[in-house]
Amino acid sequence: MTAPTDNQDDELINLIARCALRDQAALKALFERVGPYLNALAWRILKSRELSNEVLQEAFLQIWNNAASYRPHLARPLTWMASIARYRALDRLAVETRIKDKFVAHNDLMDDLPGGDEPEHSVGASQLRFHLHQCLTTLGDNIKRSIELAYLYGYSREEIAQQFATNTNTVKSWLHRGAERLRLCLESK
Amino acid sequence: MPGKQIGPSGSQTPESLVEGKNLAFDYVTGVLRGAGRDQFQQRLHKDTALQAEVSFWEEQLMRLSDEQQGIEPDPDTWRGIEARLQQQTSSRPVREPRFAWLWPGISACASLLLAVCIWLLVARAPLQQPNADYVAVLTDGSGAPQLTVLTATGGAQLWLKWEAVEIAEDKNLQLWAISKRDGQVRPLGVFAQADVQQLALTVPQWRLIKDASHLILTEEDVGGSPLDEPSEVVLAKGVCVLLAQVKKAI
Repeated sequence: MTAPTDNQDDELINLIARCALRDQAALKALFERVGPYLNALAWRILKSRELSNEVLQEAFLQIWNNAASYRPHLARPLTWMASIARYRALDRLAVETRIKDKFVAHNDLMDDLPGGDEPEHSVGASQLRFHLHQCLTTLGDNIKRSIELAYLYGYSREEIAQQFATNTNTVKSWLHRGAERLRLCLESK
Repeated sequence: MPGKQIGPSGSQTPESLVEGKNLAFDYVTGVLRGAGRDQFQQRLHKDTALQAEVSFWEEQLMRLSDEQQGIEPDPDTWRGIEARLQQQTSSRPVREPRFAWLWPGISACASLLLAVCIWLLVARAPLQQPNADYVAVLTDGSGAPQLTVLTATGGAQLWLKWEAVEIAEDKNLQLWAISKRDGQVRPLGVFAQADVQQLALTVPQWRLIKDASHLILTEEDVGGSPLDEPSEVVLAKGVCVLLAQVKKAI
């Protein structure tokens, strides 16, 4: 899908509202629009096509069941759906054996997404992403990478510590210090 | 620390405030695991400050992932979703029409029902709901119910139950929704008499109700407010409550 503009957000909001009215065609339209993106989010965390598709199923059932509780003024529709998919992927991760060969170099991870559409960037979305990356860069490489490994790839503190050959308390401290400074930076933009 | 308690919003110490912020970040990034995560999720239902923290990070960190990158789902995935939806529908007990259980006692018990509903809504964790139907019991200044409004059949219909609302011949009644999002008051419908029992809802009207914190009933000139703003003669007002959520919680 292309990066959502306000109009695209409205379209997604309408589809979620139709799901609340039990319109299954709307759920299918949502699935076609955002399914690949949510599947990619889950895949990054689970590193398994089979598991990511299972998580995708669970996520769409939750979107269907919770559509009536979605409040457009509290969250962008894609954020709401992505959060559902990520949390379901993290739930699944908790019960699955961690894939051992996940510990590969971070730079390799960044390019490991199979398939996918060619990026098309809307100016607004790119700008916001640029601000985030700009702020992350000010945190220093270790903190930036720790946040990315946790958020994008579902790494635990222990796994991040292993990646950086340090201990979990250090990672915890990196993340909390990073959160504080990241917030200040984002809010100043 | 996952095990520590965080008080409700407004009663937090500076330390617990910082801790809540850290936990929200850990929750969104995914490093909060196990029992700590479960506890945090339970607190999240009740703590609006934590909800705001989580929303902030969810919105910001979303930008880490490239929204254009996707992996096409397996063809079986949608079929699986359809099958599970079908399973949900067939395993759900046949529900009586909402009015069959709600209507008979509503005029006498409206205030009590609403109070109980609100208590349940606030005191119990919000759960998934199959439908988004809303109820509002509009009461006058003395607390007496004047009009009960219910959306039914998945928001397609507005049902109205009038009490002894009196209206002069040269006046109409007008129903309004007060948005919980922006506080704006927007018109829902004009009634010549307090006798309209059903009204087909348009999609915009349905959205207004879903977004409403309160509904109010005013007295207006014939045809409704010429300014699209409610007059000062407010006959009744009531909180708009998500009924399906309450029913499921019960």
